[in-house]
Amino acid sequence: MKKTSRKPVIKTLIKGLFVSAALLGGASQAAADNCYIMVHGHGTQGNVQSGSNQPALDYWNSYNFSQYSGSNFINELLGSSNDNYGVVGYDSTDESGHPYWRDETAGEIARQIAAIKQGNGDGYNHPQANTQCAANDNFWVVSHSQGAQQMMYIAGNALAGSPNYNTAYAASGSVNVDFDGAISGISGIFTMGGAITGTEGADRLCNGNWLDSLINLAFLGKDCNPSVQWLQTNESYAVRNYIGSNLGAPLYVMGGYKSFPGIQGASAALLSGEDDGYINLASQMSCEGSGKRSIESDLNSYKKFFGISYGSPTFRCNNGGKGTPRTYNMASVYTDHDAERNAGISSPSYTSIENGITCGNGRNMAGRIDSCL
Amino acid sequence: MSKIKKSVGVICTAIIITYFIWPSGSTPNASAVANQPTEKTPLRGDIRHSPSLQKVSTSPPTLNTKKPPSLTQQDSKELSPIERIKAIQNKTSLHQSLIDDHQQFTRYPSYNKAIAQSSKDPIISRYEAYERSTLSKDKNHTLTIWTEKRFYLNDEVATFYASLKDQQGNDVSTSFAAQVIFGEQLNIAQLEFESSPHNGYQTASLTLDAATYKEGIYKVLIANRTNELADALTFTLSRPLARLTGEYQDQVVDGKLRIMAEVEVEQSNRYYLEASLYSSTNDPIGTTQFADRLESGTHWIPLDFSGLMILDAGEPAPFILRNISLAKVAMPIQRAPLSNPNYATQQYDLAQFLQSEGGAQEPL
Repeated sequence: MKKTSRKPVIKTLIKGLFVSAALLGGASQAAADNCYIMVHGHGTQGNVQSGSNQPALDYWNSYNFSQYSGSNFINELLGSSNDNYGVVGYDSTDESGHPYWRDETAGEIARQIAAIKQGNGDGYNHPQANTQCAANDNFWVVSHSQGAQQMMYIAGNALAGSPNYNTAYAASGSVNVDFDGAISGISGIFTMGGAITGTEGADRLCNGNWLDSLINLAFLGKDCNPSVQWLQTNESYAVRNYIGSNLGAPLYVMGGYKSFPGIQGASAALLSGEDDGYINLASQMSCEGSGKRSIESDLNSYKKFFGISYGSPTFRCNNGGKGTPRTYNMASVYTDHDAERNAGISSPSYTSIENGITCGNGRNMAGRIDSCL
Repeated sequence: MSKIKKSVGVICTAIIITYFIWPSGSTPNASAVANQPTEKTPLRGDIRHSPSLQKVSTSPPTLNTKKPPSLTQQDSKELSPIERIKAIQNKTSLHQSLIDDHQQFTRYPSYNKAIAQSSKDPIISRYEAYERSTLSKDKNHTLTIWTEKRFYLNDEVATFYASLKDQQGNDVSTSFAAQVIFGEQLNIAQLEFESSPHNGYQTASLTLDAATYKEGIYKVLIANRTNELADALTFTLSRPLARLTGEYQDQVVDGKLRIMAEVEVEQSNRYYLEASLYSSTNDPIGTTQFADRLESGTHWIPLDFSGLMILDAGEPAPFILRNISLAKVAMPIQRAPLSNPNYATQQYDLAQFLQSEGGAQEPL
């Protein structure tokens, strides 16, 4: 068994002690813990959960590169706090091929968020003791890759007046899903390496000139199935065209700009601008314009002469330069797409960005959330 | 382990003693809660001229004989998530950002958003066709492609553009070919691009006849013959099955501006409208949205703009309904062409907007 209890003994004892003290005094409980609701990305059979077979939970410590073996995003996220988490699992496999607007993806995620908020547990066996969420926790959503696309769809259709308010789609037509109830009470949504305006990897796959089969197999499968189709950077597929003019919760974007380790690092050369080996940084940061817009790690675009940037930015992806409403810069971190979800790089460097959130500077994406909350 | 247990024992004793002897009203957390501004606190402005605020300030004070609860005694279930964040004493930059966001989000009804500058009008952004650039693997050439529109109707002519440049931005002589694909699978047509004199790009066009082109997403896969750089554009062939008639009315309802837009619906479905409001001097004010199922026939659709949002813009009436978008909600969404009615409202006394929803917030 690779996992061990992360919460130290002292933490558990203090937690128990506090409850005893509160009971002695007849007082109700103190400020709530954070509950992180974890929404995984593409290519996971998250709808399956049986005994120790927990793909949606394992997503957060799985790895495609051996350098990241033994790393665990959730351990880093919880740190030494009293915080809790709930795992959302849905079917994001290529075999099923469900786009972000389907009942099997966005609908299922929303239903599980609502269930976790009730405080009855997520049904997963947490290797960390006492980490199931309570109904009075502070709720946050942490999403990676395609998970960000779905969270944008849910939050962007959680307010009355939105085009797809409380609506997902199944093979038989539209389905009513309570996005409003799911997002209500969510304090914020974090996206990491989010395919918010798609990925050029999906473009290459669907346009028939994908060159790096190793990366392709790791993250997207082999064919342009509907889930991959709706991950292309073309505007017709972008989630921002299927949401309303406001989000039900604020969304904080974190982007990675490190190429993959080893030979797979070549994938970065196939993507425009900075990227995390698989998703263009402009898409991760939900910038205005094309999802393959060329931005540098400081989230600016510059004129170039012989490949050298010069002059003032021609585009700035600050909080005023977003393609989606209520979307805020959090950080631009030297991390690849794999290490984003398993926290495999413990102290990555970063680039200062306009409107960035500075707490947690120097830590990886999980650590940043931990530091900032 | 024994050391840890010993430490826990000491901490345990300290917490219990502290709990019973510390006066609850004097805890630092209690003062932090008491000093929190309420959601309706004015941001700035002259409070003497606000009837709504006067109403609040002239309310008879009530005698509160209860001690304010300390945060440690307060049941956190009673606090909203944002109140919990506000009660944190050592706030991080993320906490502060969340508080700022909440203040901004709750200032107007959620269907309204202020527009900071006209170049950021989100209604126009819905229609913008973005240029796409692809760098060759050796970084020596850049392929750039674009189209005029993202949404076309049947019988319109769609035009596509392509150019190839070297590192210095000079045009590279080449030829382009394109394949038009429906649903990522069905080949519909092949296109040859023609040079556009003096413009440095080539163009190809396509007439979207109703017999060939049904509603949905079309991809135009464009490749050049010099170095095989390729990229694809997409556009949506829309059949919105509803239209704006061009008739509008306006009135003030409960302190908000309501512009009614007449819509003629051909097929019952869910429809989505977005609109942006400007001042008569072309300063942007904000947007609104509406979505509902509409049956076949003619409807008057209410487009509501918060009175506070109008006051925050600091511009007098009349107001201009500048842009309006109508779409049939489907996958993919079927937008009708962007409409620019430039409809001017009646003259309104701004005091009418002071009695806006919520009441106690002050204009910026």
